[in-house]
Amino acid sequence: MNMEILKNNDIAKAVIFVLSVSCLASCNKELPQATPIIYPPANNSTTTIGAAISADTSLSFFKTAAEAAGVMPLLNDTNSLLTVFVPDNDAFRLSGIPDASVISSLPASVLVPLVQYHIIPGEQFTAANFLPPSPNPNVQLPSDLTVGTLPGTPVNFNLTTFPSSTSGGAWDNNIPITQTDLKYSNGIIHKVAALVQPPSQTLKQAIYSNPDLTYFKAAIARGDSGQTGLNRIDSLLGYAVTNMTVLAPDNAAFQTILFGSIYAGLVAEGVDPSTASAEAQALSSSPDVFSNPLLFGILTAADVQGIVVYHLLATNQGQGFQPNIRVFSVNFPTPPTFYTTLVNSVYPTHPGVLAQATFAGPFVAKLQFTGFGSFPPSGTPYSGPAANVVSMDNHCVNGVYDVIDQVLLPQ
Amino acid sequence: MMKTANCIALFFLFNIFSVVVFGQNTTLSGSVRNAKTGESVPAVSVTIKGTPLGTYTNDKGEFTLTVSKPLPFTIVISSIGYKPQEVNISDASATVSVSLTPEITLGQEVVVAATRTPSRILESPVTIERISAANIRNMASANYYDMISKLKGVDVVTSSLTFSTPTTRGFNASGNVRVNQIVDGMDNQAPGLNFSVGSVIGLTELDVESVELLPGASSALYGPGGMNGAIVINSKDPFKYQGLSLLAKTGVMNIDNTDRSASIYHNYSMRWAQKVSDKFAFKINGQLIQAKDWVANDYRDYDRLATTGAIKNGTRETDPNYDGVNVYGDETTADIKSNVLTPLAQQAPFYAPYINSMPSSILVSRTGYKEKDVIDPNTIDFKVSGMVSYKLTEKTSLNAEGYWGTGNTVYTGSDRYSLQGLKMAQYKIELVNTNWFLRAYTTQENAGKSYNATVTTRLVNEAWKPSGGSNGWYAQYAFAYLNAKLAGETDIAAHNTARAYADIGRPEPGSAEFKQLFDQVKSIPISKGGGLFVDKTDLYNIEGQYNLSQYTSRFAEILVGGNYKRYVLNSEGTLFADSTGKIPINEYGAYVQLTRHIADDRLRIIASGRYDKNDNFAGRFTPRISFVIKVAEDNNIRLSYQSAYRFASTQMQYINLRVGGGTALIGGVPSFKTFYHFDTNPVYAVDDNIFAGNPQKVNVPNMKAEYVNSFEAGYKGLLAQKRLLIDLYGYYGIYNDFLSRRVVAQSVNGDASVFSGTPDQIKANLNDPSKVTTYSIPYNVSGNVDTYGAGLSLEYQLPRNYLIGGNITTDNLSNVPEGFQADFNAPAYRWGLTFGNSGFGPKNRVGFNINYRWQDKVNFEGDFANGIIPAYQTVDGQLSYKFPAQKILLKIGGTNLFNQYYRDGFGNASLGAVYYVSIGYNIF
Repeated sequence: MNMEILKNNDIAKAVIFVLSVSCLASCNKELPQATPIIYPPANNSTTTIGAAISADTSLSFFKTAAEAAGVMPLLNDTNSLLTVFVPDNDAFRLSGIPDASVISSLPASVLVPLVQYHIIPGEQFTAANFLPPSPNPNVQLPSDLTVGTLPGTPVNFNLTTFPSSTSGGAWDNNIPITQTDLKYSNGIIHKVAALVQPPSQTLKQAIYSNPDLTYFKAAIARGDSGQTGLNRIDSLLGYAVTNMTVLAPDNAAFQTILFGSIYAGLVAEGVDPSTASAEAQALSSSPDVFSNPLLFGILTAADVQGIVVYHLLATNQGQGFQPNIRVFSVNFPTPPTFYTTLVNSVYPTHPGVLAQATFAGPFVAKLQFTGFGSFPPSGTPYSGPAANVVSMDNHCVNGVYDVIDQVLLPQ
Repeated sequence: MMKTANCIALFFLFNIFSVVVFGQNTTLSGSVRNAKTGESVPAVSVTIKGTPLGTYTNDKGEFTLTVSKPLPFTIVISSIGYKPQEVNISDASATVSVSLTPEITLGQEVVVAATRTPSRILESPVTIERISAANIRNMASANYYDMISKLKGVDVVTSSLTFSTPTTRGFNASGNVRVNQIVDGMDNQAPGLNFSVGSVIGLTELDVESVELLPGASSALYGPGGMNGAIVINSKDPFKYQGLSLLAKTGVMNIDNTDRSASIYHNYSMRWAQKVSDKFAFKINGQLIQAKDWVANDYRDYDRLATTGAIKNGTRETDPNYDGVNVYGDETTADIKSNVLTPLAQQAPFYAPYINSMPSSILVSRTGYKEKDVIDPNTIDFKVSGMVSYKLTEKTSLNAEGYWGTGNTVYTGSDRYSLQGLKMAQYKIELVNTNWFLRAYTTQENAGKSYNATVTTRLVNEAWKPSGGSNGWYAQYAFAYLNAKLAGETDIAAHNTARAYADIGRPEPGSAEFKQLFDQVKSIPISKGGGLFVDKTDLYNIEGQYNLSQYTSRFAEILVGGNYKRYVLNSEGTLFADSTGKIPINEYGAYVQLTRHIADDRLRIIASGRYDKNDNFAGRFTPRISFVIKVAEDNNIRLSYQSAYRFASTQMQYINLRVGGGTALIGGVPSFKTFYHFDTNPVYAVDDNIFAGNPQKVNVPNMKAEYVNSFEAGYKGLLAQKRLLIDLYGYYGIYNDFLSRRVVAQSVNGDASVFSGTPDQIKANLNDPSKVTTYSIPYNVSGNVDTYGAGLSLEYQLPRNYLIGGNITTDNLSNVPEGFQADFNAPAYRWGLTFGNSGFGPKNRVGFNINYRWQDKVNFEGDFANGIIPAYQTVDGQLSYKFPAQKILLKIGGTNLFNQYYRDGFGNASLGAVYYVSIGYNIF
């Protein structure tokens, strides 16, 4: 190249120009890239639920249970979001488990569902979320315990749990929550006062196998005669995907009322009182009384059904009165309150049964139901004796039943 | 009309045959060389002084001239870039040997576009830019068409390697419709697709004599459409530029491209022109460009609402409703809450509280495919052209010319379109006299196997697995989502699990299955539920011009002209509302221009006016008046008032197309309003009101042509011993009835309740074609939209052929009504620098050129997508060496030398460096 050119002053300037352009050119911005959305932890915490449980010695029983059940990875997973009801060690003891070694000895078939039932997966719910929308007594939410798939879909069927909260406290099913809203990076812990047991039977299985309820079973069969489908209480109690509250009078309650009815019926037929008493005593001593054709005139299917359905709580949520609420003892209020029943599906204005819970701390110490009606319908008000719950919160897959010591009469 | 045309034709015929018969002939021959380098100089004009008679040197610098004029006489030898010489001829047998001395050419170029008559660029009445063949020879760009974007005040939108659209003074877009492009007298806007095809078909690099650019309103001379300017490209006359020329350019591109590996760029052209006799010449051109195209790879998440939207945060992994800008198929979106989960909660009430605790709508988009996975990267541009020219008389030639081009390219319109096997042809026949011309041409368009990438990909998704149905993609997704939630996953984790489940078996990009499915869908016309668009629209044009100055020069120079245009829309119902048959549109216009020189040519007044009428629009007159004031020799001030107006493009009139997001893009002719029942089922504005639950009814008015009045003042002058060329201008434009589009919404069932609810629900309804149809309708903006700007350029001729230059320009928009999308798309500022030398070193064999350009950020708006284009800069450069004896020119160069990828249009391809070497033979 000609040296003369390089000496040229203009060329020197030009070189400077080119260099300065080069410098300028070195600063084009990088092409903009897609920006990921950052999902912060569920709460302002760096600790997972699993880590929090592991670190708290008062929760060591649950830690043992969670580890043995294999759910600890889930509780530690930052890609999970959970609401966990955690029983502390005292809660285990209250539920009859005195130490961790007992937990370790439980078979997986018992332990895994038990632990899974304490977890609501995929969301975090605070106690405020458990305020039930009227007329529901609680909020039905799926647990982590999968028992199958929903018919006709590939969607998992998880057993549900029923937390609730009121101004007086919060509960999961019938178990008081002792400490609410402990927030961690992957969800929320609510400490509970006892183990929340998953149901394993339907109401039908549970009631029919309860030796104190053989009359109730027989009454159901009598009331169902001539009915089909879900109009049969028998079918209803076996229908797995609903929520029912059954007030089940025990055998003694039935015997009492059967004796009275038969005795009154026999006397009305002209039988002398002492014979009538003896016959009534004999007839009412067995649940077979409901299947005795000779008594069909006294224990008509309609009458029996009318009594049975009065023992199933029901609400109208837009499609008529349905047995669609699952009321645990703790869900009943302290002031006497009417609950509509399946009777209302026939007599919509029927006042229902009067319920009253008496609390001792967060637990219910006493629960009473009073049959309350009018005779005839819309006629003279009638009130029966109050029935005491003798066995409460018998939890089943499709509802809960309380054993009561009186048969409630709707009219 | 026909009667008038017949009369004009007769008039021209009379002129042709009334010429003087040739007398006794004198034949002289000679050669012309460069006095400095000794190389032969082709295409030099050799004329007999005082007459129009003459010839040009051939590719060897030789000439032969046969004339009837008796000896002695003087010949004038002249060529741009050289001092003219006169030679007295007294002996015809002596060979004339001339050495021409190169001279500074700054400001000496002659332009035609500004007034349709030749004048020095210094004296142009309006701002004009010019690219000469010499500029092209020394350019750093890989393609001559890209040089236009380096001119002062020009913006370019690059859809893909071979598809760039230059614009001036705003309103930039791929396939801009506000700039006329005239190639050899033919409007080269594709009549159906509406973009100018300058970079697809048209002239080959070797055949370009000049490119002239008129920024600003220009329809007074070039007809409706030139709202923002006109680009006039002229090819090389086969009489003047002769011989065989070859150019082979090979390069490498896509270096360090994140989405494509480095690939070879091929660009080969040839030109052969032959002067068979003094009366007959022809030329043939061909060019082939083949490369792997740039990739449009903006994978940012787009918040789409009909044809508007904005970038938002999100990726496929973090946004279930992700809609990537250059990811297609993911425009399909649905609310799994209302469509699947809520019905499930009704069937399984025990899950209802859980499902109800989820958000009121859960929008999910289908999984898309990146553009690189759906559009064939192989871009081809093959064009051939030919011309025969016969001199009927000394002054009159009969020319026939044909251009034919085909190729694959990618274009951004309302969506990204893959133009596959696009064919465009223009055929012209013309009579050209020094005083008049008569020209007829046709543009024949065939979209080939072109398809809408967005629509096609959405349909591929449907063909693989339908979105709807009890076992459709969305049902599968929603069930899997719920299961994942029931297994404890966070919301986003559950979405990703659900997507993975619903996408099981999805054809992988690049797989045989995907290709087979894609090819099947893209071959079905849009009208039959596929992605193929058919377009066989044609344009026919006849025009003439007469320069009456020979009769009127005492009063003024007068030019008159007129044209008749006929569009025949033919898309078989795929693009236009023409499923029942072709749609003809007729358009005609006429113009007159008067030029008067006053005060010893110190003031020149040029007044022109044009009237145009279109079948679908009222007739309109557009005037222009300009003044050129000579303040000193080579220093002129120019003042002008110009106006322009534009009939809506053929698409704006008749398009009927569902675009990627599902919006119906419709035309503005009144019949659309009845067809879509706007009268009985009203449409509502998609604006803030509709989201506030207060939808505003829109009464769609009839479409009008848009109109601009533009005022411009400028100065152009040579200073510093003619070494410094200054050009300065400022303009103010007022647009009336600005033609834009707006989005309106119509309830499918005539039930306005779909426009109530929360803003999210309303938005979900607007994006749900079963509930709401959104239309993008042509709309005249009431009130004015104003634009203003200014520019300054300086060019300085240094010793030894060095030339340095710089320019800065600004364009601005004001008075934009609220809620109106102007698509202005021009940066507030841009500036450029050039430095080059056309010949230095031993025998001036070395040349180089460096070009730098910077532009400010742009808030880019378009039917495809809206968003910010950041400021960017580019440096192009080339170094050349010539072998004069062998007529070989070697060049090494590159565009975007620092290979910094950038985009100049939103949603368009990102552009990197092209490094090339080229070898040219007989380049002039």
